[in-house]
Amino acid sequence: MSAAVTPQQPAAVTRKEPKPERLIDRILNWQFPERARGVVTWISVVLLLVAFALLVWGMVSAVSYTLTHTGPPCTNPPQREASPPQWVMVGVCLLAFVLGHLTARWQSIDPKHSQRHKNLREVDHPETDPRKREALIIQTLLLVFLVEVIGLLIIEAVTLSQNVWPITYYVRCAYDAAGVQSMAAAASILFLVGRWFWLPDRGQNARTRS
Amino acid sequence: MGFVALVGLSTLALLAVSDIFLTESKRASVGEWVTLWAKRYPMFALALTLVAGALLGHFYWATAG
Repeated sequence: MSAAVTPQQPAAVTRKEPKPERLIDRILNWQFPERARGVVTWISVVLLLVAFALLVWGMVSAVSYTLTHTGPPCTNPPQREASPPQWVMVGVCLLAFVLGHLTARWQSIDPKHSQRHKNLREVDHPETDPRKREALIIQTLLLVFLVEVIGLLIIEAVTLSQNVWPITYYVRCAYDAAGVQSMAAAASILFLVGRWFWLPDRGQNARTRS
Repeated sequence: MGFVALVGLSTLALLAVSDIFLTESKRASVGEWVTLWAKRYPMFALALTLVAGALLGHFYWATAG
């Protein structure tokens, strides 16, 4: 009672089974539930407001102390170990970095804007690119960043040459004098960096090879 | 110290405000603009990354003293 052999069978035997998807690919290609994206958007807004408030708090504290005191709020030179410990600072900053990336990846984007964004990638001629205004904003921010870098480098060079505290010491001094506040400001910065400079979901934004 | 904090944090605060606007209006995030720009000007992005990394390493990871 053996089954009849058909000409199709050898081809069926040699056909390869599809490879099981690797764990890393499953993680990278996992799609966040669409229904929850609206919630993540509002969480993003709240966390961004918190980060903004912490940055402003840090700026106001530093400027007000500078205006009302003559000496530094820490030892000279500032200590390298303070409270909270450095590993706590690093851990909190890493968590904030990951949180920033995840909120940026999972927040909802209006399909109208995302479609426009994808279509505009194909524009090759800058003169016909309708993103001139956005490009101008980005270039302006880039210019501000470069000017700031030049200013910080000048400050660092002058202070080092004249045996005055370099910028590194001001960072240590902030950690020494107000460890928790410095940690909050650093975590805010890392949260923003995680949102802006960690490449987004490759399934949505990476270029295809075709 | 106040000046350094003001210069260093004010730009980030302004960018955070713009990110709040983009997120609330469900537009493409700052990260997507940065990604697009880096793909369009990869060498410039690489140079800026090196500069930023060197600065951060210098300011936050100095071990002497």
